[in-house]
Amino acid sequence: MYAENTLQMEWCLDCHRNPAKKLRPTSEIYNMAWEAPAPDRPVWCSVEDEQNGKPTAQSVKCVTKEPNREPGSQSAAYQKFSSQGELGSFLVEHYKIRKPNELASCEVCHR
Amino acid sequence: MAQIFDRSSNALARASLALSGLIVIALGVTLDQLQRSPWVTRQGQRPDQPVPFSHKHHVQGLGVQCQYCHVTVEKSSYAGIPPTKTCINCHAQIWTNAQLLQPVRDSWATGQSLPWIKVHDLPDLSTSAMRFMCIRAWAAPVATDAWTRCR
Repeated sequence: MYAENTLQMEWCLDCHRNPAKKLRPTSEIYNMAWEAPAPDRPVWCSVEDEQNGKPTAQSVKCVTKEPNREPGSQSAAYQKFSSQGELGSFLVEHYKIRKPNELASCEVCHR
Repeated sequence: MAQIFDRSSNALARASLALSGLIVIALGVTLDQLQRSPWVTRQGQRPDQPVPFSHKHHVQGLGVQCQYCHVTVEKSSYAGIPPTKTCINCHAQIWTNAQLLQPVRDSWATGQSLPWIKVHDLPDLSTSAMRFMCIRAWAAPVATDAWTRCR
């Protein structure tokens, strides 16, 4: 057990200013070996039952194997992501994460 | 009366002005670097624990789930330190004679908790920004990268 990060405020802000670069699918939260998507390691995500005004991380479903694309099946809605940038901005949008100017505002943490 | 300062004093005065400026800047830079150094932040430091427990061995090596030990991680801002019972569940069966695990067996026999050393000694968890960081980093799935270090 060791201290991996400084825990200084700049470390917090680093992510609050650009959450897209750190986000991953909810299903991968406990995956210590998770790596950001890459062209040879893509991720497919789809959105179901999205509701306005609610945190909807649960409505995003992601898989790391190509879903079956049978006509008429739900998997037609899957989008493919091959970089952290693409996946991150998709997740920011559908997890309904606030914009960096709000997230990096003082009272978000100091309240 | 003779001049006290000769002509070379002009250069000396200018040089001392420049030098004071440099010293002030150097002091600022030094303090800034000091504040960011592992000496202050403890980044990368590994305090000696009563038992040399390895997350890498148990999680990556053996595939133990995070929540097996950190049971409150999804409900609380404090992921929880497992009781000795959690260790004993397995270590009553394997490595039962390992010298490294003697403190665990002692703890189990006596009922005294293992005196783990905090790696991140955070200020009052109930009010600090860190607590909120942990909750929210969890709520917005920011990944192990942020929140496993809330331990």
